[in-house]
Amino acid sequence: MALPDLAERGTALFAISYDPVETIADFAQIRGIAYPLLSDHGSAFIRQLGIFNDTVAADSRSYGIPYPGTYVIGVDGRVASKSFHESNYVRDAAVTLLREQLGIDRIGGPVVEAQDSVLAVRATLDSGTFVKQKRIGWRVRVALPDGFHIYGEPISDGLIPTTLTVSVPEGVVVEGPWFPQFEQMTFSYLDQPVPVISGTFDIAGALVFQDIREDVTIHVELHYQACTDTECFAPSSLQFEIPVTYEAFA
Amino acid sequence: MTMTAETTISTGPDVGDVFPEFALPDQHGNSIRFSEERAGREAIIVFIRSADW
Repeated sequence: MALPDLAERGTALFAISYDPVETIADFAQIRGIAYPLLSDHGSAFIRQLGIFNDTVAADSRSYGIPYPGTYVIGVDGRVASKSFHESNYVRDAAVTLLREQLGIDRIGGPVVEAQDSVLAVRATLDSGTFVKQKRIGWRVRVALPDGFHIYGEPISDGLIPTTLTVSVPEGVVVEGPWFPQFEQMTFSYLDQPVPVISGTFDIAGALVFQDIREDVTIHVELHYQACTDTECFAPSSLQFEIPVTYEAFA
Repeated sequence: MTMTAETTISTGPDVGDVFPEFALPDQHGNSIRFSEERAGREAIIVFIRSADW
């Protein structure tokens, strides 16, 4: 699903594991994998790179595994970016990986739209399904009408900063929210500059489905106060839900 | 990087480092040389835990 994006961009994809060739041959056939799936049996290259997982006991069948991670190599052959997770098990959804590492903007999961009298939001997940230990990016795109702004922190008394609350069941971890840069602006009704944002922008984050084995509903609440250059409206909350489906077998 | 400050795992070559050359067998048993296969293109290298479990 993410492969056409890479092909279009002209990016070569390689996957490397510590499995013997027979194992990856079976895996590649079952999954229909055409890109190079490489066997570093004995983990010599994994050791050379310095990503050998030395926390695994030598008598374990997983002895030899790398710390799972991803490198992006530029056309100059140098590491352009990399992503490693502390957990041996957390894996990024493909669309999340592509966006965070390559800036490829693509929607991989559910889209939920909501609006109130002032603003509209469009929330997306990078995948609508999860397996255990999957990390899935989320985004909430906020669109304010022309002439309106909302606030960041710190803020003067009497004005409400923008907050986004993502509520999940136990077993799911929320990363974020990551807000874009707010702009310091001065208004006639305030004695000092305050951080504001206007127009259309994204608030982002990720969900790690660490230990949960059932479908999940993500509850999101955007709390804000909208103002124009001359007047402010009452604080408001926009709430919506995003469904995610548990996939027992990957 | 999606890691916390107390992370202690080793993550190999740093951003800006030349990624080392390698040659490893693929799913068909053919030896794949990174530089030849990449052929000057951008590349993504994913290290996975295992294809078996």
